[in-house]
Amino acid sequence: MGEIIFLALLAIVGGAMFATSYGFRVSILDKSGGPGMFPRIIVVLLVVVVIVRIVQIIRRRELNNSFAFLEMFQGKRLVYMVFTLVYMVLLPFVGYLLSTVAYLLVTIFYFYRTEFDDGMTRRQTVMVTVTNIVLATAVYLFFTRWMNILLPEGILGV
Amino acid sequence: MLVDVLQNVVSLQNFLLILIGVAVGNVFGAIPGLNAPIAVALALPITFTLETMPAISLLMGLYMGCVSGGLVSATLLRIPGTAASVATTFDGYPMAQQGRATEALSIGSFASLVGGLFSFLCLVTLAPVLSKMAVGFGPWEYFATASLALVLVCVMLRGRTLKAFIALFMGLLLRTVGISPVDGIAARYTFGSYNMESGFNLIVVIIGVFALPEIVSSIAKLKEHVKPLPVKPRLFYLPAWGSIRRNIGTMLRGSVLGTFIGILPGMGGGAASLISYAQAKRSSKHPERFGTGIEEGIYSCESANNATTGGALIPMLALGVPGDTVTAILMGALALQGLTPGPLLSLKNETLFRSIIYVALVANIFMFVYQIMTIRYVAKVTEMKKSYLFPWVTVFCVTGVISIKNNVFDLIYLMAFGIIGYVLDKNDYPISPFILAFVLGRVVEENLRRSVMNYGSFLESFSRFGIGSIFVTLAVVLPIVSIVNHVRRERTKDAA
Amino acid sequence: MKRVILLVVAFAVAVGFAYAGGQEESAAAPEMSGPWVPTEPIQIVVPFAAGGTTDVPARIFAKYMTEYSDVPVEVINITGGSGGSAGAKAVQNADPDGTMFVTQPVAFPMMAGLGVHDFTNEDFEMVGQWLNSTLAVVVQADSDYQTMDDLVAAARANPGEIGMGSVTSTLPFFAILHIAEQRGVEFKMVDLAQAQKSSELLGGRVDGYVDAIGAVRQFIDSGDFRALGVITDVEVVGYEDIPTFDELGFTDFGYLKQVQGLWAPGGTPEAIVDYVNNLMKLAAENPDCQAEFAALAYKTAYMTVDEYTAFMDDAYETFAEKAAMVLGN
Repeated sequence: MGEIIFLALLAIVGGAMFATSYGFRVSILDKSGGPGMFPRIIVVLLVVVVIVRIVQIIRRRELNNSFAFLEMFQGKRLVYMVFTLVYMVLLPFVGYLLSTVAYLLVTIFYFYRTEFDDGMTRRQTVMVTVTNIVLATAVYLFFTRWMNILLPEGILGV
Repeated sequence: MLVDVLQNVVSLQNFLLILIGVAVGNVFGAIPGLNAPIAVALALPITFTLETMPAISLLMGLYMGCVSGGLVSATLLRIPGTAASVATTFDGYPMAQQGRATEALSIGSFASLVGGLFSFLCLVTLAPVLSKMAVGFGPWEYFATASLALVLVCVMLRGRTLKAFIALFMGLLLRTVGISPVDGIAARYTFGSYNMESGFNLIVVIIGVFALPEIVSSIAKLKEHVKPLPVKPRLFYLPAWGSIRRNIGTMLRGSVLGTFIGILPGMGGGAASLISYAQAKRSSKHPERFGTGIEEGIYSCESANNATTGGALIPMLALGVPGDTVTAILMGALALQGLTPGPLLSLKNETLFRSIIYVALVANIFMFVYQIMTIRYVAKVTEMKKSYLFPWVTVFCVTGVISIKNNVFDLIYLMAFGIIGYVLDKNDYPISPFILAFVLGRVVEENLRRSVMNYGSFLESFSRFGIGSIFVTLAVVLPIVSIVNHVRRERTKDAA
Repeated sequence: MKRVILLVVAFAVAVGFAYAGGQEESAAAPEMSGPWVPTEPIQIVVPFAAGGTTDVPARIFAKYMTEYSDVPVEVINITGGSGGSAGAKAVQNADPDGTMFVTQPVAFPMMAGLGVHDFTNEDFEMVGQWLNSTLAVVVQADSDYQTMDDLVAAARANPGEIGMGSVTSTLPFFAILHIAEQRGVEFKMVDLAQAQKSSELLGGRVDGYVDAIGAVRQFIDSGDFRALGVITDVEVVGYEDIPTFDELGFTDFGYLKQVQGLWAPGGTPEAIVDYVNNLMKLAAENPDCQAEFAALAYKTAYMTVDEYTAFMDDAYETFAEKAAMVLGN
């Protein structure tokens, strides 16, 4: 059933894109079929293969086959996804260096506990913290100073 | 003539600059978001101060280094730095996860060398002839070749063809987002955001589809550790002779394909390696083992993507038509040296023209030597604790995504493509058509519309008999044949 | 193990100090009247990918401007959007403190006219122009079109049949429309790919195309192409035998010149604008700089702030009108 929902979703999004394609701005000199032509062709082809696949699922009685999706949002995976999402959202506001160090430390300590069923010793904790701060700073400086790349500066100016 | 060329090429300064270029390029190729165009552009100010040959040496070293550097991150981390190394993840990564990282990297390096050398030979002997091909290709031929490439990759995935087409059309549809090509004024599906006008960036999509799902699904296996197979510490690592001998055919096919595709502007290493991989799988005696970490997989795609470099240089040097983005910048760099690649360069200054080609050869060889000597160090990445590795990989992906455009906007859809990649991969929908759709989507659309513009309609374009119309016919017929075969097989299965 | 920790800590402290040092310097920028003096690097945003036709000139200029400035002049590529909108937006929203500028490519006034960009020159402070390049109309050398009149006559005899190539919605595209409008003929507008214009003419799939003289001159030199005209009123050095559009009797083609300049965020103080404009002037007058551009077939073309401001006003007005040829009314 999961796969049919996925396919239906594809068809619906495709349908919406098909309908929207008639509203595109068109140049009066355009003799190429217009900006909407290609998306419309692709939507039609997509819907055809989606329907064939749905028929195939029903005929082969694969209806109850499991569909991988929800497990992404369960347990440790959910924790990772949420951490990463928060990191990406906060990055432009908090600044690159600060958010990266925070993300690294939090995720590393969390994963470490899972990987070895135990937290780090105090000594390890200090080591890991210092190393990661140094490495993140080095990456930051490498990108901003050497590569002339703008990484977001946040509240602290870094 | 040859003496002059050698005098031009062989010098300590040139070789040192090639080596520096190769080493730096390797890092750029391995870090997602940093790529060959950025590396070459950053080196531009340095080349101002150099003589012509040293400048070319540095740039060629960077170019070759970047193209090969993608092998490392694709194999060890499942992060293809560019589209060209996407296919490398299919077998390189599983092999590394079985503790055979050294083997995977040495195979990749060797195949790269073969691809590079082959395209060099073509460059030396056939440049004038092959460059004619680039001139003979118009919009209709590009449309046909790109469409056929897309169809081939789907049809070759035997047993999953239907799902492959679904993934393909998904990719093509997502690729239409942004300002429409050809007219340049219609903003498609941008929801009023100017940042969406350039569409989804290919590199961001690749990082999202490959790197993120891999981390997400590995989190359940945090406790499983990769045990590297014991390898004797040596100065350098080569694949076993037997393995090379078995795969000579695979590498040659990949090299021919890569050179051919490299000549056609806009197709590039991504298309070459994916098609070469699919082709190797189809003609293999044991296609089911592809994707589990077998050597043919790496040989086929790495020979193809490196062969595109020579292919891309052919039209640039002979015609002044760059074969990819990097060669476009290389042309700019040469122009700064007062050289304009094109018909005049090969006619009036043949020594220089040949010298450039030989520098490319030296860069290829240096690249190979550099890689097989550093394998033992870089392979250690697989031994890192996963609790350190995953957060850092994520940070590098995020940093890379920002640095592609100096813009944080792309992070917004990075995660969405991670989810799409996970859903496709885990439910047995092939990823390669999806990625190839992103690589070639614009080529297909632009050239379809240009053909309609030039010849009046699709049918009129089709009626111009030639290689284009043959390819289009094939692109239509092949799926039909595949369906008929499939139905027939199902019938016999039911009957039995 | 201890040594490692010590090393790491020492490195961290060193980096920290180095960084703090840098921060303090910039924080100490004094408020002063009179001529402005920069304290932080000047960043020039190129809204397109590195290595392109907007990027390379900017990098050359940045190099020479650094020679005359106390601070480094750096180039950053902020890409995305269409026609360079993401880069322009980033500068539009930046602090007007003389640290960030954006190069103005040919596309800006055109994209605003076509309604793709929602910003205009009014949202920025105009700093100056640094170079321009001239467009040329080329056909195959062995074609029957010896002169512009031959080409126009052919288009008149076969309306909409003679294929003229350009990348749609770029300056060459408008140049073809300009020729067609002033001579009262209709061409078949053929869309070319950015990187492979020459191969379309070499392959005979178009009758001619329009591109910068720097991009086509090598084909003219090699005897593959013939130039029917250059869109300018003064002869191009080295190509004096190609008729100018003035000589061919065209009028009002001033907007068909590829110019590149520099914009600052809106509200940037005049002192800063003048300072950077002066850097551009010094660089543009440097003979080495001019020689480097000559190698690329570009010409440095300095303009004062007032000249450039007026020029841009004019360009925006012209393209707002010309867009009607594409969009209808």
